Amino acid sequence: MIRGAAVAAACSVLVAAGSATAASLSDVTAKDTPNDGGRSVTVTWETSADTPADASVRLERVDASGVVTEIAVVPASQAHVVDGSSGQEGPPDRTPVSYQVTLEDASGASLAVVSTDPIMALPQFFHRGRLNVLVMLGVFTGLLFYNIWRANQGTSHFYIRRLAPVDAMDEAIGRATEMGRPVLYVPGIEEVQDIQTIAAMLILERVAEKTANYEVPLTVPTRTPFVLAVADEVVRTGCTAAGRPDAYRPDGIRYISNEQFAYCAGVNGIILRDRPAANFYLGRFFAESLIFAETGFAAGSIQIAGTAEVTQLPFFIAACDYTLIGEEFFAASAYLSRDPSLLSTLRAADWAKVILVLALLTGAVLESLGMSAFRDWFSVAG
Amino acid sequence: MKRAVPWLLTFVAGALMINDFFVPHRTHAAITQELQQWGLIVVAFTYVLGMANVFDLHFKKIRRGSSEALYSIVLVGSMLGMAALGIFHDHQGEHSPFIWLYNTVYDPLSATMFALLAFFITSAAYRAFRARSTEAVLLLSAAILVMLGQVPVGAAIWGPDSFLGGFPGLKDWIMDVPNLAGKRAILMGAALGAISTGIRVILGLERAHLGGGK
Amino acid sequence: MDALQLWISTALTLCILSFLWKDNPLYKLAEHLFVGISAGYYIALAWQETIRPNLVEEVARGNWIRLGAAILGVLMFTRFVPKISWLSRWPLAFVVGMYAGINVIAFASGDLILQLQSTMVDVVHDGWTAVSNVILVIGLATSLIYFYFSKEQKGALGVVSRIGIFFLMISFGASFGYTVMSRMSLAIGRTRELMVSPATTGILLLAVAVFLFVWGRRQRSTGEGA
Repeated sequence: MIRGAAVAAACSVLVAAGSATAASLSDVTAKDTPNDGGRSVTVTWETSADTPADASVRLERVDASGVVTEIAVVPASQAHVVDGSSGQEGPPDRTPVSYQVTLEDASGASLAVVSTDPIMALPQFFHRGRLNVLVMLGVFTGLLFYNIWRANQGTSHFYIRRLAPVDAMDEAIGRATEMGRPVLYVPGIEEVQDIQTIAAMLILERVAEKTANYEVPLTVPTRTPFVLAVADEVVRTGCTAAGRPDAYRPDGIRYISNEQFAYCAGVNGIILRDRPAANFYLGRFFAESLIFAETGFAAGSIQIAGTAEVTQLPFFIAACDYTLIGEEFFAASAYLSRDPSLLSTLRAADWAKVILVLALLTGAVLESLGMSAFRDWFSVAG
Repeated sequence: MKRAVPWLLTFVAGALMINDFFVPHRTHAAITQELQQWGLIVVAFTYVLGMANVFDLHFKKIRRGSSEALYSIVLVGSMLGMAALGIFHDHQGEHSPFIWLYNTVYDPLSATMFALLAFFITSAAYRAFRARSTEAVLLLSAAILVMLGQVPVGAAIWGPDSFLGGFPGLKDWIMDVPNLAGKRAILMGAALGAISTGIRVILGLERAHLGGGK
Repeated sequence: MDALQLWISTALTLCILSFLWKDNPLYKLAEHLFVGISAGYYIALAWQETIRPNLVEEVARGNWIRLGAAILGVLMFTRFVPKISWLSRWPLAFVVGMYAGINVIAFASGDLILQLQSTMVDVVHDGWTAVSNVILVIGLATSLIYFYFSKEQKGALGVVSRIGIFFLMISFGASFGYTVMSRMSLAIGRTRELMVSPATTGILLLAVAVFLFVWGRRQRSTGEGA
């Protein structure tokens, strides 16, 4: 019975007729390629010490009916070939095939020939090399569920430290009300593919709720039309949540242009001409961050920024009144909601941080003692 | 239908994409790849919404006949013209009007807006230099040392052959040690925040994009 | 670049640069033209590089499953019909959910695990490198603790997070200083482009300056008159 995946095929050595040297092949194995989608077998071999440097290996696949297909000719020193690697049709799944490995010298003369026993390619349902990511994600999700459960039980009180930039949002919206000027909300320049844009949309709901309560016009320029659609939905939801669906103004949500600097020029235009009292820059930004922040400063607006984009944080810190740094930005929507089950996820992230710091210190100590196994466990298979 | 289906779609799509990382099976990969194509196509459809949004805003201005009307005409006209040239005409040929407009308007204007940063970074630096706090002093000191390490005049004052490698050596150390520590902390903290946000969305704890509600 | 291209691109460049003085009709004109042309460019690309090859041609080839994407796409248009606009949440939900999932995995397997692993370094051997490594490990640990939300940052936690914020500030400063030079080189590059034809630039610069002078005076007199 052929068991495919786990069995390294035993090999039979054929006679290499007419070889001038005693070069030979050994340890020739054919195994189902691990952690793959199927249709792939990995053939490995070793060559003897007297194998010429320019020798090559010809790999051929032999199917059950005896049809031979050449797979590759590679330098003998390569020691392996994956039949069915990217761009190449491999053997069919669950069908026995064997491989003929021929060692050849530079002139193409055969030095040794080895045939493997039949082997089957199989697809895998779990990538073993990524177990570490699953464990870490599982632990984090477990912490999230536990904290959400505790929050829903109502038995746990959550203390969350003050986030000054988020508290300042209320003040900024209040100022806009007094001045009778709009609030500008720039949700970054990325498509919704980016998690920072999704986070920006979640904060936008809370901001829309507040502007609806204060009856302040809200302007949301977007760089892509999909973000426009999401922002439109989110602002509508925010107004409804405030009990003021009539406060929703579709004119305020605008598509500008997908081009980074055209979007930048368009937003600059809004800052200069509409003169918003408060500018919120929350999302993922690149070089345009400084142009926004400096134009807003010149226009005299209160400016609150938040991003996890490391390279842009210094500019927001230099030019804005308040800045949410990295994780603070992701925490803002939960903080604004004051919803215990959302706040509980912040505590779960805190516990995860403690675990990460302990893992870091343990890893550094073990690495210093020459024990790398702990560190190596964190390698992620590509 | 109004609430449950969108939530289910969010959950299934999110869970499938997470699974995709752990399940190498070809059929699973084929499904997620197909769904990602669907995502791109849905996003491309929204350009119709984008155009409608631009028309709505600018036709109002044009109809009002305000002083802004001329700019609105320029914007809508150039958008329609460029889109039509790209859709109904050659959009890749070097001598096509589409590429000509790209090279004449789009490219130089993009580069010029980018170049404006040189002026803005100067004014931001000026403001940052006036800040008075321990944090601000650290920020400025690091900024000045890194700048000096990058320019020839820095190396002329305190060269790479001197103690600690001079300004260039100090710059490299700042970039590779304290800067890297701070940067990694932000990346790791943000990663936790991003994972947490993603899970909240997939589980339906955050549902602003689904019309709100519990 | 032909002569017409040179004149137009130089003129538009100067219009954008006039923003450094203040908002004015020339900047506004260039801004609106730029926004219009670039939006049109991406609309064309959405058709040419996504809808046509990935939907129209695929369906024509017999890949009927792709029609599912078209149905979801068309549902987006229900936003134009208030009574059934709730249907547009379906494609929104699908896309947002999909990208949320992709991001969860990307961050878990990328930034989180790899950054942690890269910082598990030898803190004892190799003299000066070990000192730097100690600083790196302490810097990362304390900066991470700065992001601790569920406890007041007082006492020991306060001290640790204060050390963390110092590292963060050094990091921001280093990033700021590192970027300054590249931004300067951008401006120098753009100035060089303008100097390809000094005569063209000179004439257009004069024209822009005259326009802004006249417009500025008119603005002032209108302001005084009012």
